[in-house]
Amino acid sequence: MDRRGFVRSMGLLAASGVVFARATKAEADEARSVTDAEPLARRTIGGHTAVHTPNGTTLPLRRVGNVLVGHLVAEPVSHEFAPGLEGECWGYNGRVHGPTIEAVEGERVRLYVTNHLPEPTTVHWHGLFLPNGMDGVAGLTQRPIEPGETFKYEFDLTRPGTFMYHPHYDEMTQMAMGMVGMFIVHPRTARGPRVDRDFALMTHEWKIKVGTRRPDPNEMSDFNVLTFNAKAFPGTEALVARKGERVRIRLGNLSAMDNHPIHLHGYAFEVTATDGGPVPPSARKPETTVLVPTGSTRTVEFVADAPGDWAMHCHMTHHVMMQMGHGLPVMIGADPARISRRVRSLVPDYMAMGHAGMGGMGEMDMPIPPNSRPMRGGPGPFSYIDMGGMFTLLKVRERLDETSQNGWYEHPAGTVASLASNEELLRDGIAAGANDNRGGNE
Amino acid sequence: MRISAALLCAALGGCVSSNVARDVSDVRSRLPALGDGIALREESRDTELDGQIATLLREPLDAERAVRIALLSNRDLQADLRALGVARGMLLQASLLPNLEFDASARIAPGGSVRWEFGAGFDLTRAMLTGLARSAGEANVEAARARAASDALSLVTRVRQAFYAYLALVQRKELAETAMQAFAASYDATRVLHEAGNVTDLDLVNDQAAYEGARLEVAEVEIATLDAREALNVLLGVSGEHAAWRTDARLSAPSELPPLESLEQQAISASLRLAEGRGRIESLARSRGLARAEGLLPHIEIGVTAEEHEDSSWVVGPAISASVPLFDRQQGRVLALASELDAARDRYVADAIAVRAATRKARNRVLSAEARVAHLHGTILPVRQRVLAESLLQYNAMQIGVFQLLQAKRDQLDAARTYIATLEEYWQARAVLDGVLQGLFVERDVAPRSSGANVSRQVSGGGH
Repeated sequence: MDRRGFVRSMGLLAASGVVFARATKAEADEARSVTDAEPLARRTIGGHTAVHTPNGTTLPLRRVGNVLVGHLVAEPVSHEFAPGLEGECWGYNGRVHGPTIEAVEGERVRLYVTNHLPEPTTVHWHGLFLPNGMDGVAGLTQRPIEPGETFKYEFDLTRPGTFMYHPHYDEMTQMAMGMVGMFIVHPRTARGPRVDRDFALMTHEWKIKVGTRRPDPNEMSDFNVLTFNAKAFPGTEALVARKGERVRIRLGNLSAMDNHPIHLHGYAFEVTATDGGPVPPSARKPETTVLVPTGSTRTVEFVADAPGDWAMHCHMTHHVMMQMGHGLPVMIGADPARISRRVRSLVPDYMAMGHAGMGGMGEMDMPIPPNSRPMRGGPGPFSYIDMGGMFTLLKVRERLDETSQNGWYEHPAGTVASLASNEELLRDGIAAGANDNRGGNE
Repeated sequence: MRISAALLCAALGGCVSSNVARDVSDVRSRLPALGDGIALREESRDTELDGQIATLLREPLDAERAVRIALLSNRDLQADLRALGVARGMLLQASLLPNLEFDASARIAPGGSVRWEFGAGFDLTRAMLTGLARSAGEANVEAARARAASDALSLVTRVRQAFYAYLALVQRKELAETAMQAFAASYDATRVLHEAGNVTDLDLVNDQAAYEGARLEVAEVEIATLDAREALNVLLGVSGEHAAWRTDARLSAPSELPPLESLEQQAISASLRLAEGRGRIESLARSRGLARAEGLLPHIEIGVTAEEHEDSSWVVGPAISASVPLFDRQQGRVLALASELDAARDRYVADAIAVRAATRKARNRVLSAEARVAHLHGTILPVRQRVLAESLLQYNAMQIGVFQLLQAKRDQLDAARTYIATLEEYWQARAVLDGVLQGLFVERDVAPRSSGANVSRQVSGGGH
């Protein structure tokens, strides 16, 4: 009997509550003893594959009696979005975003929240069913947690799903500063096929003016740093799976204003759940892009049967451009030499840009303001990847080893797009001169 | 005894010298900072002085070279210096004894015989008053010397101010041309983008308007520069090929100030206007004394008369005539001179007040301009340079476009123009302060000179 079968059988004895609880407790305790320092090593919780939060952590929960106890400390945090871009944010337990809270349906949790912020806060448990007084809405269901105070939230996890948590006092500021996190409740009884890899990705948007260090909570429409788990590519940790494994990706969105259509290359998946609950199999339809509205979660599943380095990103094109300025004149089609000639006589270091598109901007080695990554992407196996922001990779390998996380996929011969030879062009009747090398930036 | 000596001296007519050169030398001594620069042109020295002027003009002009040229070549100054000769001539005239007067008459008798009568006379009263008249004339010469020095110093100050104004305009023109290049670059970029279909017609004409405005400003500064050059030529007193002088001077940073303690006392002591005033007061006082004496003394003429008698013998004897100051004792003239004297005293006090106020004003303007120049040079210009550098970084980061980058450059140029205008303000004020401390009198109703460059034109940029 495999572990899943064991758990299922234990579920039959759930009415007694004792055997199941003990098994669940043992497995839960065992799961919590494994750190997130080894992302490729699968952990379990309650018989389920534990959630891995790329670039993040899981909140340690300690059992006190029959209650799982955890502690969130709301505080200012210095955070690196990507190499070269740091921000003075607000988060939990020294991190941005807050640690993923993970437990099993039926557990009772007691979460202490200490406020080290300069203003009051609360925590709302987004999507969870709980006593009204634990809902965390400042002024409505509780008084705010004043700076220096510690509040206690306690409730039963009465339903499984992918949920979130965030402040419900001065949300505009505190969420814009990074105070969000994922809350995963595994079902008491597993549903559907076993998942081998379970990932949590919180999408978020920020406005960090180039050369500054502070997110602007007043921004309403011109966000310029988009993240998965508060990281922008190339700072995002890849999602790694072995070929044949079933992968679940839980997507959350607590962005201020924008929905995010998350597109996965190379695969079609099904949306198996929202933060409202599981989607019945009969209601699922295949997608390659899932729209995650702000204030929602979407869970997708698929089998990783195609090896490679697959891009996964928000399909809003500006959400994969780092710190893009939006007040620039359109330079496409302009003759750069005519513009540069006069401007350089006044500003010798001036260089015309953008007249042939903006693809190469990230590779240009020009002096820029400190603490900024304007238009920057990251290195790739073939060339510079001119994308940033809400962009990450799904790496599927035949076998997992120490190179899987940071190494590049080795393509089988003949499976990589490459320059067409003249013979090939001729053979296939493609027009002569198709290989002319034109254009490019100055 | 004194009268005898005076009479003797007057009779001889040689003690009172017509040496105007000594007066010029005295004028030089009142302006030691100018060295031997002041010279009264004489035909015998014209070639020599013209040679000196040509030598000075061979080298690039600076403020001090311009001053030396003006002192030698400015004909208005030469005309002012001629006043020394006028005063000297008046002194000489006042020092001369009256001429002897001769008269002759003939009496023709009915028989045709002629009897002659001759007489010779000498105005004794006038001779006795020669000393007083000369004394008044000497005081007048003293006043004329002070006035000539004042005229020279006024010219020096005006030359310096005109030179600084010219330099400021030259530098303003350079900046205006660079600003025009910035507008041209913006307009060029807009035209290129317009051809590519990337900006509107409105954007294009907005930038064109800004560029054309900048061209106009350059033209305005050009003509102002030419005008300033001609104004300087007038002060230099040059024309023809001499007016084609060149300069590579720039408005320099403020130089060390003279000690500012007891400035007012320094200015009062040095004031040529007050020296002239003292001379005039003394001259009027002595003239009043002379008038009183003339009024009190009977007008006496002494002489000799000779008369031919019928027997052809001659009778010779002394003659004397006298007017008794009974009704006309020069009361009106004395009163008029007394009023003139009182007026001169009042004028002297008013001038002293004006000298003190001008000194304080000049000091305040110099200190204020110096502080502003220091602030511009030490803070504002570096900050504007930093704005341009940071703008380039933001441009490289694609946060701003080329138009905003060029605006940062234009803002830097505007700051530079303010710096030049303030630097000119300093040197204009410094010329006045230096002049005041050497004795310059600042006319009460004359505004401070400048090139009018204190407010830089803000030409609006394009609509980007």
